[in-house]
Amino acid sequence: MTNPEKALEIDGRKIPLDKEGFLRNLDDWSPEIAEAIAAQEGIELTPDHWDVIRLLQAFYREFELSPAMRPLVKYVGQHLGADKGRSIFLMQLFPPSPAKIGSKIAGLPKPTNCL
Amino acid sequence: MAKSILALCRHAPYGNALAREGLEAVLACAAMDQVPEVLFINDGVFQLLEQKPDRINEKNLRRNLQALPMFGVETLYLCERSLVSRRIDPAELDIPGAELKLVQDTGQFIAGFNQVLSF
Repeated sequence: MTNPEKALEIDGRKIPLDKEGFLRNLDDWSPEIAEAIAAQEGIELTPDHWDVIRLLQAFYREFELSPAMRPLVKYVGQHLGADKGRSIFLMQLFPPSPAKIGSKIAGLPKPTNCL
Repeated sequence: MAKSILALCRHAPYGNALAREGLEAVLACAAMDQVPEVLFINDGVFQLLEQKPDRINEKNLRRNLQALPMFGVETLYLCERSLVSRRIDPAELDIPGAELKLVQDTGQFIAGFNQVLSF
């Protein structure tokens, strides 16, 4: 059987991904899976990345939606301070599209208004 | 000069997709730097009340609405007559980070916009 969908393999477990690499089941998320998705994006996770990943997850818990760029910048600014609440900071962490790539690594659904 | 856009939210949450479609249109506009104003009118005012949609396996629309200030929509307009006729006390309504403003003459208010999206 051919399977056009992607999957991650972690400790012998197959984690289903959609064709853009987002988790099919949000409950699958774990820090190891975040590392694996980040590696596929060519990103090595640093403490700054983890701060933003945790904020993305907090944003999702608070509003039940994934942020677009503008609200993500604002939310990071509110929680990590004005010097980090800037698009350049987020672009350096999660290029080329911080809201989308960050949401993918944090195990959130794709932002619906991400065009 | 940018056109002024108003999103009219006229329907109760759940039961059909209109309330959610309206919210998503507002978020999409905001993401494209065209932040609209939003007016809750008729049964749309019910969108702002506390909800327990997990019982019908729906996402919480009011929680989503609370994200509007993060998207740059910092004032939410409410039709005063719609609230009064549904016996909703404006004091019960609260969206953190947003200012709620009551509109008495909605016709005149709506006429002030270049474009009106109706949901």
